[in-house]
Amino acid sequence: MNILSREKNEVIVFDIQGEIRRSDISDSTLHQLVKDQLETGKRRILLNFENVQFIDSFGVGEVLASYISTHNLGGELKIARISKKLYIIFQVTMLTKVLDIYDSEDLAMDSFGKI
Amino acid sequence: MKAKKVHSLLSRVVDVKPAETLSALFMGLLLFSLMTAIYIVKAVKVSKFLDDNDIQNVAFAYLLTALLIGFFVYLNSRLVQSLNRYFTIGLSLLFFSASLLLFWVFYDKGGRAYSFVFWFWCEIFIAASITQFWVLVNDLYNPRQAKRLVGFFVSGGLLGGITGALLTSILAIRLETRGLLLICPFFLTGCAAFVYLVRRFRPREETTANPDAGEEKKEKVPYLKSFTSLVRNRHLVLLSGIMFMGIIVTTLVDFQFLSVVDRFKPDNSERTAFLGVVFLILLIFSWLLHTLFTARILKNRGMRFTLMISPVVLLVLSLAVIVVPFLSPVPAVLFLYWGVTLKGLDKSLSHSLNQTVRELLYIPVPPDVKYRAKFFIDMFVNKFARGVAALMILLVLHFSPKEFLPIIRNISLAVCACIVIWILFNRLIVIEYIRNVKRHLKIKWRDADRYVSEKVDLDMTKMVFDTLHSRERSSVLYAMNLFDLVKYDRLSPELKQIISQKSDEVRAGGMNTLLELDGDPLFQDFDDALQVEEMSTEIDEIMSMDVYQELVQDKIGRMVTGDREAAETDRMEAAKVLGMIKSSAVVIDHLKKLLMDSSVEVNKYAIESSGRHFSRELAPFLINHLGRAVTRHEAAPVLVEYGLKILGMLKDYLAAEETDLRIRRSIPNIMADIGTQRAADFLMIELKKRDPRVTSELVEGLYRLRNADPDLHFEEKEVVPVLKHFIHRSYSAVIELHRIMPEDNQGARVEELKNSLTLNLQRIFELLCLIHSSDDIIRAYQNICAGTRESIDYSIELLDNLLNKNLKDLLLPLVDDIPFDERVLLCRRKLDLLQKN
Repeated sequence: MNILSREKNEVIVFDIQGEIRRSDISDSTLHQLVKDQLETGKRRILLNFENVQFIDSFGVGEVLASYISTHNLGGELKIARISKKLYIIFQVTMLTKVLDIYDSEDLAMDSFGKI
Repeated sequence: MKAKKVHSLLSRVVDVKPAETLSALFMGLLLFSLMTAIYIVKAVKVSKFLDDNDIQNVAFAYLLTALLIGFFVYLNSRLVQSLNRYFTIGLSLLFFSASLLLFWVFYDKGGRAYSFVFWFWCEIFIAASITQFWVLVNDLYNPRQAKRLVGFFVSGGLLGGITGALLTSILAIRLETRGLLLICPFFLTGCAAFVYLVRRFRPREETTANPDAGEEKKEKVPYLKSFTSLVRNRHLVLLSGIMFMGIIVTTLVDFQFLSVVDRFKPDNSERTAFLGVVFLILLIFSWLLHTLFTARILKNRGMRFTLMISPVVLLVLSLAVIVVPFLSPVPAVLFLYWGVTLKGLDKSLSHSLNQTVRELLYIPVPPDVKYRAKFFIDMFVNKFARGVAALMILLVLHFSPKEFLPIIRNISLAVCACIVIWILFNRLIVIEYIRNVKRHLKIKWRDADRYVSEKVDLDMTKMVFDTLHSRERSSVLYAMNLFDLVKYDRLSPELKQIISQKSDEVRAGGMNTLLELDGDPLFQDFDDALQVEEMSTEIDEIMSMDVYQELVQDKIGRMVTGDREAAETDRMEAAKVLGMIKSSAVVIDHLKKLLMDSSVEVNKYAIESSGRHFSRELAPFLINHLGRAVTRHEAAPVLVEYGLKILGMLKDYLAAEETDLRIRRSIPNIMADIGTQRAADFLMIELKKRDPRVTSELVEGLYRLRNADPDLHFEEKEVVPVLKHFIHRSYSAVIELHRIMPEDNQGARVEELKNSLTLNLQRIFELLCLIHSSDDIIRAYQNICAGTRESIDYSIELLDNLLNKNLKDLLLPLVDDIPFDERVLLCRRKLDLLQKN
């Protein structure tokens, strides 16, 4: 798994490539990367799942931990471009009740700050 | 430039923001002019009335006022409702001004009827104009602004009263009483001009009602509706109660004072002169009290304490006159001093502290309800209380011996009884006030931990992902995970479909195929999967057989010691199955080895299985996984499940400096999730050590604990030093920011300091949650972080009422809505104090 970060319109976008599995973690976890951004005062986080084929339970834990850390500071964490396969698993496990998931990065960007 | 100059001048006497300067100045002048006119009119009213009537008739005049005032309350209310508020207030001032000219014309022609009419007109004028002024204050300013400015307005009003009294005493002889009536229209016309100027220079961000509301919606509020607005609002009912009891007490005290003056100053002119002097001294004393102490007392001691001063002082003085004459003979002249002191303290406290607090108490009430009810409280309740007091006096006089001392004593007894009820109302309204302030503070964001756990079954979700993942690794692992899921018994039909889908279907087509509604059924082996459910009991029985356990343990023993690279999947299966069989020394031993396995996938299953045996021997191995980012989130919930059993062990790991820092930092949250007072005590012990490497995590853990269980107890004396530590750090950050910002506005250090300030503030509020209601503190914090200027003000108002003086003084420089330079100055001062202490 490889995670690149970039800033766009005051939103930190994490482009995640590969599968978020515990066996693929090298230096930093997704949650740690999100926490690093939160500590620098950033409060808007977007996870770009375009190149994520699958995640395991560790990946789910990372995404939810990132969500909790962000929202507990009054921030927002959203997900964009998730595969249909993952989306359905998210749906049946009720993750879609919690996570804001958007079809495209632009839609996700537009949604920040809107209630 | 002119506005800046005015601000720099005005800010020397009042804590005023640039945007409020002109409106505050004109509001101050408005009340000054109004009070000047009122004190002239008051003197003329009493003088004229006493010329035409006996002094006893004053009680009947009060009674008459109480009976008739309702109609005029109704009329005034209708006017303010139906017209632009500024316009109505200006117009009514001009009306009062013009009618004074008529009273001047008919001064000597009306006799007793004139004096009664003029008395009544004065009551209407005073009540209406004062009420209208405070309605304007409530419209223009939010609680925080009002708290800063009200003291200035009241000082202006008291100075106006002194000016009016002085003018009366100086000019009454030259112009005669009648001539004084010609001075008042001058001041009242000035008042109307100030109302216009206030409207023109009102602050941009009006926070409550729109004073022009009358222009937009010509809503006519019936008199009855004003009454029902009041009755339905608990806060207003309590406020009415306070005013009602306060005015009864004031009227009774006034009667006692007049009785004393009547007895010891029998000569009419001497008495009038004496009253005049007392009146002036009283106002000056009130002004000094207000200027020097009101704001300070309110700021330092809060509303709760301030509200109690007046009733307690009057109670002590009233009890004194009941008790002392019984104990020893009292020189007659002492009664005169007592009466003057009683009257002086009642009036001065009423003009300063009580008036200020009462107006503050109006502020959290919704604007519509407030301005409807304010007329009713100020005019009707006020007069009605006087009527009740007059009846009480008549009753006491009827049943008392016609002697001075018994009458004074019996009236004092009535005063004491009323003060007890007054104190009760005071206590209730403080609670209600805080509740009302909180209503203005919405929760900006929910506790995400709680929200996620409410919406998502995390254990089940992880199981689903593990099951899907395991299908790619091994059919055995897949079957075991599936078996777990079935046992979990929370499978929806959709979930069953997804999980029962063949592995290769998932790999080849992904879940996209699920969206294709046409065609053949997708899940050919769905029924097979469901059979697992039926087999559940049989599997349990097999696994509990001793022979099975022996065989499996033997097999696992070989797996665990085998070639790890080649048999990762086997070891994963082994780790999984160890969680399904009975606990034994061998099982625990195998799990220890698997917990130390080089494969994180194996570790994951070993951690999960460890959570089913809860052996203390496994706990250190699990704790070690807290140091690894990839297994931390698996190990933490298992350790939480161990609960109290390992609390001591966790504490030891946390305390040991040689422990991996990542482990130490993970432990507070685990202890928080375990909960209990013991966990809280352990965390507090560590917090007191002030190890900067784990302080943040400890505070976060304590906050989570408190949030989950509000009954947990934390010693304030233990929390406050840590709070001060974070406040100290914040002060230093503010000062350093101020030092480096002019040169390097966007630099990395500036960003670092700003972030440090944000994080420190979060920790400060988390710590405050330990010693105050979490809900209150969270509301205040969230509204300070993300709120508007108004919600920041309400947050600070709430903190003002919750925190003790020391904490308030330390915290406010960091959160108050003040210019940065002023913040730096305050931080420097407080930092010096902290360092000295």
